[in-house]
Amino acid sequence: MNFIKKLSFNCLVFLTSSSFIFSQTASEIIGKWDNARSYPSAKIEGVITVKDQFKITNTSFINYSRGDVDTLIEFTSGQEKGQKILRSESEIRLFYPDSDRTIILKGAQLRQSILGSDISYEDLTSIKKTEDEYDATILGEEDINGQSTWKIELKGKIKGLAYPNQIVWISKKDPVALKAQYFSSSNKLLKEMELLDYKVDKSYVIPTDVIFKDAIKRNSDTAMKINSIDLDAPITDVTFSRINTSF
Amino acid sequence: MWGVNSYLNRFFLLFSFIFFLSFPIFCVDTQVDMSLNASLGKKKESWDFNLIGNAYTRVIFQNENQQLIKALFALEGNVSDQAASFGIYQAYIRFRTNNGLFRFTMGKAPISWGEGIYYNAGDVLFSSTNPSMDFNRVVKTDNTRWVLVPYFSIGSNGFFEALISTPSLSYYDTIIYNYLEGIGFGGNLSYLNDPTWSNLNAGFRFSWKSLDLQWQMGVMYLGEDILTRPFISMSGGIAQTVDWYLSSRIGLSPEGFEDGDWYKSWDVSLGFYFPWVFRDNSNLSIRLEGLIRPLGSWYLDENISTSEWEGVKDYLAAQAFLDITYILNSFFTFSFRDIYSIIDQSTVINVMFTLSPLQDLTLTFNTIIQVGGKDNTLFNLENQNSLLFSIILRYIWS
Repeated sequence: MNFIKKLSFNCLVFLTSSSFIFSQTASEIIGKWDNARSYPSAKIEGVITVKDQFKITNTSFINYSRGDVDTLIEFTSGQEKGQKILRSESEIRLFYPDSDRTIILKGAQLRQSILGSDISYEDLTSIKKTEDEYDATILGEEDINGQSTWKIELKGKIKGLAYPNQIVWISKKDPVALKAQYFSSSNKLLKEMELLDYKVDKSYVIPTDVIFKDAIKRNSDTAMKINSIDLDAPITDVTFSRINTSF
Repeated sequence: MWGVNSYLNRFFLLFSFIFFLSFPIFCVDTQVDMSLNASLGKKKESWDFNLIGNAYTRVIFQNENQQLIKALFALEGNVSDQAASFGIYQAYIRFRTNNGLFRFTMGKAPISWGEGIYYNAGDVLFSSTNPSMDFNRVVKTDNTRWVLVPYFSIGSNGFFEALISTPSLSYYDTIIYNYLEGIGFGGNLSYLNDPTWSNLNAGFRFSWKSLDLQWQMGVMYLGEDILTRPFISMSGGIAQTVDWYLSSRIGLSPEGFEDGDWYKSWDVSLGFYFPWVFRDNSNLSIRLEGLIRPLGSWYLDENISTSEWEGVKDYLAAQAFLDITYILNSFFTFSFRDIYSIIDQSTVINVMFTLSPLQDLTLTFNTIIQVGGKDNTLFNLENQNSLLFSIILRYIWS
């Protein structure tokens, strides 16, 4: 009887303490993850490679970003050369230089894919302050590509999220997601992300080799490789202004 | 008074001076867009076969450090089994101030006013409300002119833009034609406008956002037609699902006032755009546009004579344009387009299959058919190319 009491007590202590630790740690882990990717500003150059059952396409791009929201992407090769995507707090604009025309994306247009890839315009609308939008819970620990990670479930707490449910695997070594799964509100898997490589610069972690897979598309994936990162690039309000976008 | 040669000579010299002086501070970027078009079209009495090669090369010079200056130079050439022509497609310098409040463009640059793909009453410079059948208007929205354009930013969603432009075919577009004519190529220049200052076009527009709508309002004076066109455009969305846009303009001219029929030039264009992404990630988009001339001809006598028809065909009161495009995957795209002249009940249908086997390479199978039961209708089998089959191979290299 004494043994059973002791066992029950130990189990209770283990469960309550681990639950306490996980709830504390989930918040901390997510906070560190958010901080590590919220660089004040950055100029990033890279290539998007889209593979499907028919062909492989490569498109180079330059991404200017500042804070959690402001982003300007300019495509620098192929048919889309010169096209720009401007993401601000309230909207996403596309600029077509050949016709000097600007289009504001709304509603269903946001669900269209960028360059036929597994990334949609809607994906650009997610912000980097996870805890403002999701409740986080640690599901456990797992190894991803030989690295120990926290497996964390994110449940949306506001309406209108592109992915109401997510599971992210955050490395214990650096605050970076090595893998992520994105689900609909009915818990249907929509997309997956796998991080193959990343770079630590100052106190920030920047993904440099990422693969996205749309769970609905067969034989398709999108790889994004970063060739250069400049965290000290001169990026101001003007970078994200209408006059610069349509320049 | 200076003739067009004189003022355009000065303009061109100034442009060339600035352009070539700017070379050392630019980095250079090139892009080549080539297409080959083999078509079989029905003429009035017979069938006509054409093979046309088209290419344009863009060389972009851009100051990368500050992104304050951009210069673009693009040449365009068309070669067929019957004729050849070459021209300047775009050639402009654009600079902006460091504070992002002012931008200036000088040279041959794209101009895009108003809202709409096929019918756009706000497009006061290029007049995209005329009834002629030209599906190229849908894909080639990059109309250019020799222009001077100061642009002032007003807040994050507004701007003021003024514009001075040369007539529809400018002198320097023709220099290359003339040169080529001398070496055995050449084009027909008989349609060059009478060269005087009065042929210049000038206008301005404001754009702003209010009531969750984007607005444009302005006016354009078209010297070559002695016509003043005020316009207003607005655009918005319905339930985050459908985009809509509306433009209205009127053309005021001394001739119109004298004839008392100026009111017929009131054009209203309206459009709806509905894009949809299916669960398998295929895309469907439906665009419906209409052109309404509220004070135009709403009724057409079935027995109208040809001379009467010529008088009213430009004032038919209503037309519609439908575009349904389905992108199945990265390889296959299907398009159906239709222009329907509501008053005379004639139509032109365009069906297109586009295959994209490699990056930046497309192969398009295109069919255009005009259907109109009567002689005096906008679209009928008697028109040039009333039946057209074409295969277009296009490659963009950069």
